[in-house]
Amino acid sequence: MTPFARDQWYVIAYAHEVGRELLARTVLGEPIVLYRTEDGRAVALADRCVHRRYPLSESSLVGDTVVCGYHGFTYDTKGACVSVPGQTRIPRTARVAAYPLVEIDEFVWVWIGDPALADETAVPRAEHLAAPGWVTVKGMEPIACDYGLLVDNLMDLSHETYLHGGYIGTPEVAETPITTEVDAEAGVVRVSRHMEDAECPPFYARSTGIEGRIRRHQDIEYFAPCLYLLHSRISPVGRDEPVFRTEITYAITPSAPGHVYDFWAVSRDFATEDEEVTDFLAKFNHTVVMQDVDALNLLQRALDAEPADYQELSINIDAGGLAARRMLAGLAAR
Amino acid sequence: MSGTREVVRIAWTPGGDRLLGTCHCGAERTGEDPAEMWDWLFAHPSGHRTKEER
Repeated sequence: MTPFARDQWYVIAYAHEVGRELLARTVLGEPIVLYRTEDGRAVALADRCVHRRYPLSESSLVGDTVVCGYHGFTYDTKGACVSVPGQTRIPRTARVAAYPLVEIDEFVWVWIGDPALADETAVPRAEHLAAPGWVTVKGMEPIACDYGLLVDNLMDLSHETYLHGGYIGTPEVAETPITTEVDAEAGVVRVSRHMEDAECPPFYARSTGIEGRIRRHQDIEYFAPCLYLLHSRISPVGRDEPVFRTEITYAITPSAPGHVYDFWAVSRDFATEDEEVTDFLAKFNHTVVMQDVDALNLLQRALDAEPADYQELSINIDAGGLAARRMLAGLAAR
Repeated sequence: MSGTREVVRIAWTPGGDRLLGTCHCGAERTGEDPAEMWDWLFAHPSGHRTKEER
């Protein structure tokens, strides 16, 4: 199992998912309840009442407080219990954890680990998700697999040729050599695959209108452990203009051992007014994501049936995935 | 791809299967196994000699 790295920021939800309804998510095995205060501030509390461990997410939001649906223990936005049933004295230990939280770029990030170490400036950015001039389609799929399998999947895009053939994959993706870099101090792994003359897959043909072959540059930046950016640049072969820029964003959030949240988004700076393109990309990319979801669910079940000491085989295409594994192991060992 | 930070790199040489590993210290090595190449790169400075030192 890929070890969990605590003392890190993780995406727990999209901003639009957090509102005046209580939302339950689990990150690194910790159940968390999310809501928004009356003045719009997002709050993340441990999702278990201190009294009998009832899920607060199955309770009531009254003003800015959560009232436990079992016995009425009431918690404020800092997790402090402000009311217990039938008595005036509130036990000193009556509180639940409040998680440091940052809302930025349409993501809600929580800090899992020692709150004293939470540095809000360390949240990696995905500015295109909220920047003017960009249009984004997005979603989230839970996958019943080790989060390391999703990292592996995204760091080696040669799988597009086989798993996503006819959608985003063409022969050139698997055939084109990659360059992989590790910036250990910044906590970033980069993988670049620059295809100078490639078939145009339907994903780009239908969104850009290009009919011939394309120059296709894929530049990945993985900000371990959670944020993955694929900077995609498409232009017709032999022409410098126009360049169609697509930013593909993933937040890879381990939910529990063997479970991961796959937050995905596709942002573009072209045809931004074209609803047909938006609808197409939303549906088409969801199909592509579900191809990965099905494959990773299947892969995890296959791995679960294997002896623990199975031996993998790694080749050139795995340089990025291997680097990411090393980085995650290092973060988990801190 | 990168600026001036201490970055290590594996470049897959076009036209073949060879990998070129480059450490931030300037040391280089060729090979065919990315796992071994990362082992060598992250062992810096052990076994790393720049072109001038070789």
